[in-house]
Amino acid sequence: MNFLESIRVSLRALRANKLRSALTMLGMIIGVAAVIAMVGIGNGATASITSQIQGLGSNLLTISSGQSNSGGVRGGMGSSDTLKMTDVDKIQIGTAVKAVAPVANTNGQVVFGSGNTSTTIMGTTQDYQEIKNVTMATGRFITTDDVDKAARVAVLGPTVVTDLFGDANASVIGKVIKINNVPFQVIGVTTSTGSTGFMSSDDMITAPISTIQQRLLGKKTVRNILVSATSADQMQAAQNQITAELERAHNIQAGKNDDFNIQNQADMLQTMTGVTQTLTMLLGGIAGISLLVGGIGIMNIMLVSVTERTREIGIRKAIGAKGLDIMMQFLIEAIVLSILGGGIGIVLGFGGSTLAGKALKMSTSISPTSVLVAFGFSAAIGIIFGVFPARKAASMDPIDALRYE
Amino acid sequence: MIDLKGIKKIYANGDIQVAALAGVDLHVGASEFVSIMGPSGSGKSSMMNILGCLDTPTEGEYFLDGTDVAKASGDQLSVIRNRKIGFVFQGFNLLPRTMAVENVELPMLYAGVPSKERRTRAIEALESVGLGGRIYHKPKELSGGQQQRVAIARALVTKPSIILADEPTGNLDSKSSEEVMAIFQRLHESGNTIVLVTHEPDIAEFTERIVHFRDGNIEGDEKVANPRKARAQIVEEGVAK
Ligand SMILES: Nc1ncnc2c1ncn2[C@@H]1O[C@H](COP(=O)(O)OP(=O)(O)O)[C@@H](O)[C@H]1O
Ligand SMILES: [Mg+2]
Repeated sequence: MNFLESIRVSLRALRANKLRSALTMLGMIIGVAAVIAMVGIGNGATASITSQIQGLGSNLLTISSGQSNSGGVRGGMGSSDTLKMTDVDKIQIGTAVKAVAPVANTNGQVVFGSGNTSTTIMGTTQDYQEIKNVTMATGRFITTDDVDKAARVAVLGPTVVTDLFGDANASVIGKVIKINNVPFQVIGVTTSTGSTGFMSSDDMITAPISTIQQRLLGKKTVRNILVSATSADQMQAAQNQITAELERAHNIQAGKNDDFNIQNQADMLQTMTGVTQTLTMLLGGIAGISLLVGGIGIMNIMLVSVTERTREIGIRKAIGAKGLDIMMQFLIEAIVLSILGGGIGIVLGFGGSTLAGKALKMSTSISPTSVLVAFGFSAAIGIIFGVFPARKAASMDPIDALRYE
Repeated sequence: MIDLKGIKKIYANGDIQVAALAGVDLHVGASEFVSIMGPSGSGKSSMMNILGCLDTPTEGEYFLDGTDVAKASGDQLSVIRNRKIGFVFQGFNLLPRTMAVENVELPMLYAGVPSKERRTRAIEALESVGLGGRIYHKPKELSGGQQQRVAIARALVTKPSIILADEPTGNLDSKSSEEVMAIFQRLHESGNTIVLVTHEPDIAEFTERIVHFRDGNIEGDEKVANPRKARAQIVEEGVAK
């Protein structure tokens, strides 16, 4: 009997037992769908975190108060206010450092007429615009002059405009809003970056740092100093330069712990993607186990099927089927079940991860590798877990098989 | 055609050994129509299984068409069963959930006959047993007699050297039995060699020679003087759908 006939015989047997075939495939379907969806969601999460961190600004270094990581016990970031406005001038603009901006932020209750919202108030300087790639939808950003005069001017994020004026396209330039009862004149609106959630640049008001310190904080606190390096290659050089400059400014002896801490965007990216990749692997691994369980399910059902169809095997052998014919029939059945299950699983996994992506408002990406791996794995499972039942069927003695009740 | 020399079949159940066949010599010539009779447990089925190459003897020689098949391997026996033997069982042994025509095609599938030719020959075989109108029926949609006729069609479709039947009428009423015997008689008349087992003397009377078994030995071997003619008319049961 040739291979094509074997396939036909197997398909007919599967069709004759639709319910059992479907149930057998279920394990495979769930396993493969889980792998595809989990890896898809994981990849999506990694991509979205990467883009969020990249959105923080290009080649960004963030200096915070507090001890560095290397000190063993950590004093908690920003727990002691060791950064001062004078530190900003200590950092030299040059081959490594492109721009420096201090930030002091707080939460504020913002009121305009009957409009009312609570948002982050970010006090900073003109260079912040360059460091964070802030683009203006209308009006202008704060200037050095605003900072020098501690002008009560504010740049609004688009979400704030909507929350406060009820309309994203409201004409707001020149309007006076109150932040914690202090009047500020609106001078500009930033374009939407699409970022959402905590510390979204869309839901934020930017104002001169001097004004925020005097009017809202009541002290000359600097929360962070943001530095952009001239290029990705210069990140380490910039970090070394700043460390030296601030250690000198803060009189920190060699070998003593620093009272500040520099975070590198690349490090952060690496840490975060490391975490999500581990999660993806974990989820994929769990899903892989369910794939294995699906494969064992196929073997289980095939073994039951071989026993249940002992008479059929006996009949086929009695009228001339060779061991190989029977073996092929059952092996092909197992492979067809697992590949079909795998195929359906891929489709469902694709749909599932797209739905999950919609629900979680993030993009999911199905990698061709995960599809290939899942498909190859399911075919392999069909063969591996199909061989044992198929050999059992093939080795049956026709007389014993026919006598089986 | 068939030559058995000193065939022994010994079953070992633990320490107890049962000699189902105690050294049987038998010759069946071409175009003979033989029935094997004997009490239950006398070794008739053991004998048929060896004749049908479903089983191998513990001892002895079995020449089928001149070749010794007593020592053939499992796959070699499969090929012999496929090419030379048509076997009809007491319990029909049709594949359930499979149409009559597909059941009849099955031996040709393993013989490597192309699918178109398989279908034509299967339909011809079914028509020859009066089931031209039942070719797409599944076994459970057929009566016992009809199922046995499908099984006979399956046995004869490969044009085997010999047709073997172990109590083919054992599960049938007398009318269906006679119909089945009429088919065997007709097959015999057209030159087929047939050996069947029965414990009913009525059935044996349709054949031309009766071999009597007792305790694994041949006790008697007689010619039937005037074989009874099966009168059942095989009515063509409808036309193919
Ligand atoms: N597979 C077997 N294992 C052990 N003993 C068997 C087996 N098959 C048949 N026998 C024994 O062999 C003897 C002949 O059985 P069988 O050929 O079936 O007789 P019959 O068909 O004439 O009734 C019986 O005693 C039976 O119990
Ligand atoms: Mg018997």
